[in-house]
Amino acid sequence: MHVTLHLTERCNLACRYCYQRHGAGDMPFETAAAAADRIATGRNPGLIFFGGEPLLRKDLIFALADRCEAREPGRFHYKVTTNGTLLDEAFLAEAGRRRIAVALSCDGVREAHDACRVDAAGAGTWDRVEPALRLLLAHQPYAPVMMTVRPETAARFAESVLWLRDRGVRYLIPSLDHAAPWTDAAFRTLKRQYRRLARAWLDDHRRGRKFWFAAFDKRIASRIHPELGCSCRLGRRQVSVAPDGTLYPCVQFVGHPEWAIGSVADGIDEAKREAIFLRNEAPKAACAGCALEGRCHNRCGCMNFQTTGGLETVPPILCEHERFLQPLCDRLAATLYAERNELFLRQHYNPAFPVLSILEDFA
Amino acid sequence: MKIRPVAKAAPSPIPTAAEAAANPSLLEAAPRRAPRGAGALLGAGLLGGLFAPAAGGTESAPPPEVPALDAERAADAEAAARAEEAREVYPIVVGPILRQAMEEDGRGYFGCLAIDPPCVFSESEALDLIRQEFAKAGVDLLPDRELAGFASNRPDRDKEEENPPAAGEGSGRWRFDLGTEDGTLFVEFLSRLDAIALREEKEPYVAMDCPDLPACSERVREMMFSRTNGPPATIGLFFDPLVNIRLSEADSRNWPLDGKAVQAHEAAERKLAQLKLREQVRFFLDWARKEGRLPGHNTEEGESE
Repeated sequence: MHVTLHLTERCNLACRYCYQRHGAGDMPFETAAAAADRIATGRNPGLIFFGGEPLLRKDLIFALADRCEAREPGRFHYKVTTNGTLLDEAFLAEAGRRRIAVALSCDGVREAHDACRVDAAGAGTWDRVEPALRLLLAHQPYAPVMMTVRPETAARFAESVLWLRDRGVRYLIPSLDHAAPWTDAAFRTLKRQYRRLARAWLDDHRRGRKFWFAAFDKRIASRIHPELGCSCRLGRRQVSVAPDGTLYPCVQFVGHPEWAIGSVADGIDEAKREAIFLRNEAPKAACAGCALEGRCHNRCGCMNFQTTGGLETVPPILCEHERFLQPLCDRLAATLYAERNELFLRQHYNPAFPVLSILEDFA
Repeated sequence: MKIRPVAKAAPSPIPTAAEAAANPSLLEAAPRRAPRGAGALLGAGLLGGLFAPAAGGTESAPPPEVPALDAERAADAEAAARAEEAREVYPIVVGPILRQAMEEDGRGYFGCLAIDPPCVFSESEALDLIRQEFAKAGVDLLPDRELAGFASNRPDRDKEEENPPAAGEGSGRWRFDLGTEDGTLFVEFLSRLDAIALREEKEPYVAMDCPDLPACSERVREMMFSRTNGPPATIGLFFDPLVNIRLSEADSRNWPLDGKAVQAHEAAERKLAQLKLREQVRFFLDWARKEGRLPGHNTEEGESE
């Protein structure tokens, strides 16, 4: 079980696609500690530090990690997702000492990044994030980067992905902003970008270059490991904790009291959580009979809520995207499988690959 | 934009992890020359332990034993195998291209073709050279061979992205420069003009261009998907090395060179270009021999010669 701790409602940026409700609230140490205690005895407990911008509360991150380690060293794992503007040498050194994994939000090249990731004055933040990326990779070479793609940045998608790859990013997790006003023309642009990336991805595999591009690799994994499924199991795998201690099924529900499923003080309202879970897992009427069911992200409760206000409907852009991307990924996989590409086979069929790969990288 | 359920997903020739774990031969380092019906193995996947010792692997080797499964799953796998066999889907395997060539050759020149031209092979000259190398390996190639039932994997066609050519549904044809009589091995030579023809953006033909034949060969490789009637096909892709020996500082200063110096320069370029193209072919032949993909050389390495 993971808990996502919204350490603060404050953020030093004003990204144009942000779904968070910003305010002045901060999470008290006691609330964060109580949330950690609630999962401490469960299996594989994890704390995800979220915001607002969580690095506005570095003190709380370290204090909480120290408390958990004092209780039972190595039991918890920690992750923080940051906009990068407050990353510095001192934080990364301390984070490294405490095994806090850092994930960075970066939309790629300057033109793409600065289109949406701006500060309160509307100024782009690429000049601050680019050095932060270098610093992060120097400390945590396997740090994942999260990228958001919108219609206005679609034309820079491939360039941005390849730029990040060439800067040394090994794990890139791109997400569409499904709530954005996607048009047919913008989606055609996106498809062209994916095709370009498909060629680069094939080339990387043939050259033995390791680069996990979630848009392709996760979809291929869903073909090879169908048992893993695509459901987020809303409210079961992780719970979001608002600064005031209210519990929500996922990050995008925070601040919407009608979706609250309990509080840190009183625990989870199991009946409410189960009702939301079942509501989310129910088949979507619009998707009835679809052959892509099971590999599609149509059960991402967060996304459906953000785009449609409920859990029963999916945004059309998701459907278009999956109908395009799944066949493309399957063909990429078929091509490399026909070649018996060594990297592809190891990556997807050898469960020990992540560990072996790191050992290999440092050999 | 609409929500449109997909009635039928294209079948995938790749095995699931469970199928590969049950039958490690599905992950062998390179596919053997598969007998008729091998599509069944690729498509349905049979069942054994992950990365266990590879089973036999020669053409005559019996298929690995199917471990006990629950009856329903086994029946499903068998039905899928039968369906796959009936469709006779065979992968097209493109041989590897010499890495050195991919990194160093095939770009030739930037700038004016008239002032500092590389050695550009004519199609017939290059094909003669390739045929000679294959003949030395005991393989006769015939010109202008067609591969029918070809399913394309072109990533640059909107229509195909929407309706991908599923394995088993290919009806296209590809005319190769050379091929064996039995239709198991084909050769395509990519020239400078091929690079221009395959560009996404069509540009007027001018004296100044920058062909990228390694990239072009990758694009052609991506187009190869499967064929719907056997036997399985192996493709050798080679490209013009476009050798361009830079003029020395002194020669540059004295440009234009006199006739003899130009001839000597061009002869040196041609000699090196021939050597490089032969290297590409020999590299492919070595691989194909080891993989049992040369017609008449289907035994393990060393036994065929």
